[in-house]
Amino acid sequence: MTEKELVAACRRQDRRAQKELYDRYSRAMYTACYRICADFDLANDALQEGFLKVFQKLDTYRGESTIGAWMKVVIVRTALNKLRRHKVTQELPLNYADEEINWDTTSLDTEYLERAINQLPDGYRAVFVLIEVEGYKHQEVADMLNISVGTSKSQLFYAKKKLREFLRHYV
Amino acid sequence: MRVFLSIPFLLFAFSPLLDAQTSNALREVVTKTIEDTYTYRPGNELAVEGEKAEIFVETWDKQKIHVKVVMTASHPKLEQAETDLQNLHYIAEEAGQKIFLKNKLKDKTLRSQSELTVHYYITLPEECPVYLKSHFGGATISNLRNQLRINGEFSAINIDNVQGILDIRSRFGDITGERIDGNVVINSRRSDINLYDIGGTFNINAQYGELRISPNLSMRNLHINTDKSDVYIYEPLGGEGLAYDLSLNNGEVKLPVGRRVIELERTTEVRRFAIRPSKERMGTITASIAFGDLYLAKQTKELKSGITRF
Amino acid sequence: MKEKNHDKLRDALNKLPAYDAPGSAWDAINDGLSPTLADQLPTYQPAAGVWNAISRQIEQAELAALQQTGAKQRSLPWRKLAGVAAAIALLLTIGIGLNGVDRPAKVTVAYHQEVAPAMTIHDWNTEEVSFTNALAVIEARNEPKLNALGEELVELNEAKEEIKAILVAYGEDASVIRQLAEIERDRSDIYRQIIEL
Repeated sequence: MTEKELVAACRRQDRRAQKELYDRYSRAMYTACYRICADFDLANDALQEGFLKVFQKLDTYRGESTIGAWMKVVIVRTALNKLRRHKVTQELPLNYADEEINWDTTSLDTEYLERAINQLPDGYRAVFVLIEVEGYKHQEVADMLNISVGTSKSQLFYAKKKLREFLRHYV
Repeated sequence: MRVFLSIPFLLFAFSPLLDAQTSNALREVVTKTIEDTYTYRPGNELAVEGEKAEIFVETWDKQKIHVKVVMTASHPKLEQAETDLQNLHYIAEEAGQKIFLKNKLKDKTLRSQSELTVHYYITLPEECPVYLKSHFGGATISNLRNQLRINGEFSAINIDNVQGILDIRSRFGDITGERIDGNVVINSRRSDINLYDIGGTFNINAQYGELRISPNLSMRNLHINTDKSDVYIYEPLGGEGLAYDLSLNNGEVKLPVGRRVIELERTTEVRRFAIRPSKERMGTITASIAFGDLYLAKQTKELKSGITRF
Repeated sequence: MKEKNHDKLRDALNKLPAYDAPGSAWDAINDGLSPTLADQLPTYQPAAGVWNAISRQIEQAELAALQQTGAKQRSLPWRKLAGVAAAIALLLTIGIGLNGVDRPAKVTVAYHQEVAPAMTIHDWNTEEVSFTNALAVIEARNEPKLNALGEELVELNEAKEEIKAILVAYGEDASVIRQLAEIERDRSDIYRQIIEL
């Protein structure tokens, strides 16, 4: 079944098609939820709620992006809602222009990196994952998190700075 | 008189509706699922021959090949669906290091009253070589890292994130590929080709199709040879290191504004020209296009590798 | 902000593992979705006597089988031992031959209902006379440009026959009918080019 046919079948509440869509995308979506929530249980909740929203809102999908990209925005927003303290209440100082982060002298072992990402405060981790792992642009992240582009950029900087500090412990 | 003439007209005008079903009619669907798992050993190869089948190939990190074949028959009458389903035959064989999977109709002369479908869902190690032969249906392959050969007819081919040695032949089946890197040969006829974010060495021969190619900065050698096909090449951002050698026979070319070309041959029918790289050469694109047009443009988005965006 | 060796971070991020959702995730999603038509239709219990009759038949069949086995055992015990030995030998042979198959294939059959798609009108043979005539004219005139178009038309005609054969063998599939429609458009295109020459 092509994606177009699959989407049409899901709109008709064809359970097999809905399962097919879930099977195709659940791994990537669950991984993205876990990266954002840093908790498997929260990720599981986010995935379930996210997919239910996808199936309920599928009529609003107009084909402006691939179905995978559209679903990811829905599910990522659901995961972000799961975070307890993701909302940024104050703008952080933007005077990081002269600071430098160098990854060359850092141990970037996969296991340590994942642990370090999970240790980041929720807000920093969300921005870091959305920009560096999921590939969204600052404007898109700003829309999703209801913050300014400037805040997104500074949050990313502080996330990387914190990550760098965590990873130093594993050298 | 008028009444008698209008009746046949009405019958003619509304005859399509005589065949139409009401929108709420139900049909019975019988689904037969066959699942099997094979141990994968280095040297194994998987060959799938699908007829009117959708084939999905994905990878995992287990040293196993998991196969799920789903065959369905749909008809308003359950008995008819069951009877027609029995004509679908699935064969799995192992010969030496090769695993062969195939579906066919037991009786080719039988006219099916049901709608029959076959789906293959295959998960295997990324290093397992795969050979697919698809006659009607489609093939969707992701994340392979070794060798992929496809021979398709009337089958849409979708390839995502595949590396290695690829050999694709297609007739009446469009080819769509994203994130492909390696040594790739494509021969196609009556098929459109859409390749995005591709690198390595590509050799494309196409007839009667439309080609849209977006190489990335890892493209070393892209060779296109087409007949009666329009070709669109989208140059990557930062791709000033690409050199072009382009030849058109009875075709028009459209280039980005201000692009300097070196004319090598120009007659009423033939035009051959080159575009030199404006920085250190990183790759070469050669195209030989007959009875088709060439469009050279720039990609609008930067290609990032490794991001799991769809 | 200056960032050095970002590619090192990029490489490390690319190696982060992916995770599969727990098996129960789909069950929870499924429970939350609107009930399907099958779920909404009533189900019915058979009368109690039906099971009693089936149960009786099963018992009688088991009894008959036991009596047969018992008789064989009493009269030819050595034959049973030989049979067991042969079975073990066969299983061993199959085990060696089934090179790499971990367990027998699992086969399941399921039933459900769905809304049937609207039927299509079979109108793809209504213009065949025109195409046949066109090919006849091409053959008569024997001109290079027309011959080339004729070759294309023959190829598309053969493709159309292949598609029609699949529709007969596998029933009507919307995607195959779309392929047929595309071939028909190409054929019409060629036909227009032929009549213009």
